Amino acid sequence: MLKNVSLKHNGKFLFKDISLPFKKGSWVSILGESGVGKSTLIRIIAGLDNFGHITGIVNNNFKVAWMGQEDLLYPWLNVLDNILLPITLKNKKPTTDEINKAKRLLNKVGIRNKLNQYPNQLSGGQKQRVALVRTLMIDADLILMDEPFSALDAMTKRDCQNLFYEMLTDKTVVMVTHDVMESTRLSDEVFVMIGEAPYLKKGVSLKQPAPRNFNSDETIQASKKLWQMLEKSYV
Amino acid sequence: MYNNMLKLVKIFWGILIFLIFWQGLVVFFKIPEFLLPSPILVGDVLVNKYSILFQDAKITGIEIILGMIFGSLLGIINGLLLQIFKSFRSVMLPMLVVSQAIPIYAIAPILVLWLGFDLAPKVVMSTIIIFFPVTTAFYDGLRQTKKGYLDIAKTMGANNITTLFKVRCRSALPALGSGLRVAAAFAPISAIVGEWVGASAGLGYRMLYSNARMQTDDMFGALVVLVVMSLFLYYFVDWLVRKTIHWDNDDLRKKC
Repeated sequence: MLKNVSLKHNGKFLFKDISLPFKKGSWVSILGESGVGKSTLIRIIAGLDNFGHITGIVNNNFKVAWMGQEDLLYPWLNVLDNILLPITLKNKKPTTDEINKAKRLLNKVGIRNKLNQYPNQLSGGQKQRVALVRTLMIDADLILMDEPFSALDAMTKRDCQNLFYEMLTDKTVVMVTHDVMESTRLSDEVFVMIGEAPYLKKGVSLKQPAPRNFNSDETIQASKKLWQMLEKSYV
Repeated sequence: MYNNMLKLVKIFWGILIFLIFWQGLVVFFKIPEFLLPSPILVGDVLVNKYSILFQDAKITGIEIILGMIFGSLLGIINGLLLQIFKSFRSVMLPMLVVSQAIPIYAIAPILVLWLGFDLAPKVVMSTIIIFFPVTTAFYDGLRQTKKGYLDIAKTMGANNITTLFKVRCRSALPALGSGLRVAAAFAPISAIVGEWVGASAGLGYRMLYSNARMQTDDMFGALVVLVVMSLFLYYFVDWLVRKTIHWDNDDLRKKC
């Protein structure tokens, strides 16, 4: 969890007093306009960025997986080797169990036959699926996603959102996005990152099972509220 | 495959037209053969003095290949050191620039003085010339590894050494490939210049020797052999790089 976390860099707050609970098995989205510092926030939770002056409590004393805006597959490795990276990057040899797990997960996301292909032979959606499987191989307590669908076209995006939700159903997820619809479609809770020295404001909680339809009453109400919060912050 | 065949046919026609033009020039203007030998005469040299040219080509070839190997290895090691050690970087980078400001052809006589007339000074020359483009290309590649790749490695718990060898080095391979291509183009030049300064065998030596004796046709013969060898080396390196860096092939084709 995060408690009253602030980041000061060159005398300016990049964000201030941010608190965020990580509820087991829940999907939390952080919504905000581009450049507000959403990415920096989850990069700090992931232990990636280490600059400026951080105050407050960042409890990342558990296994964290991070997914970036691009798939970030290594182009010189085939699909299977990319998926086994969480093991091989620790200089361990993948066990038969781990290889079988990789194959099982690939099967589940529907690209079992791409095992020996290279990323440049895959479509955008397929690459994102491989990246998801690679993330799942980590067995993380917390999965951080930084606009994971932003590079995909509308239809592929929809498919991937459904698939991600299904695969991550029992995981704790924090997703950063600028897409209101995406946040209401997938999350249990949406926070909005706003302000001069940005902070997190609780937006909405959603109860219906996800992935939700964009035209259900609950998502329409939630979207309205989120839009209002975002628009207010512009003025 | 079909495209490759078409390319070859085009190259063949290009060469043929060039040869006919050359022969025509010599015949029409009655150019004396010590100024410009006709292609037929040069062909005659290639056939009849085959064994001499082959001996020379062998020596020059060995010089080029050894220069390529040592220069590339030195360049790769140097690039790695630059990436690993900050202190080495601050000393070595300015030295690299200075080393390239020294006209290498000017120090060739000193190398011959120090190392004799044999293989050594030519190989050292090639090595000095080749290691620079390999170093800079490889170091650039290592430095410019996509940040996202490094982020992935970091969140997956890779240590610095693993990140260097399994992420940075791999992602720098296309850049290294470009450096090796440049090196392959430079290697023959450096060996030849080395031979011009002081040698008793080799294609460069053969060219000077024939030139001094107005045997211009012999000189052209040696030149043709050198051109063929250089082309072979370049395309071999190019092929090797493409085969190794198959994931980046589209990109490479554009560069060529």
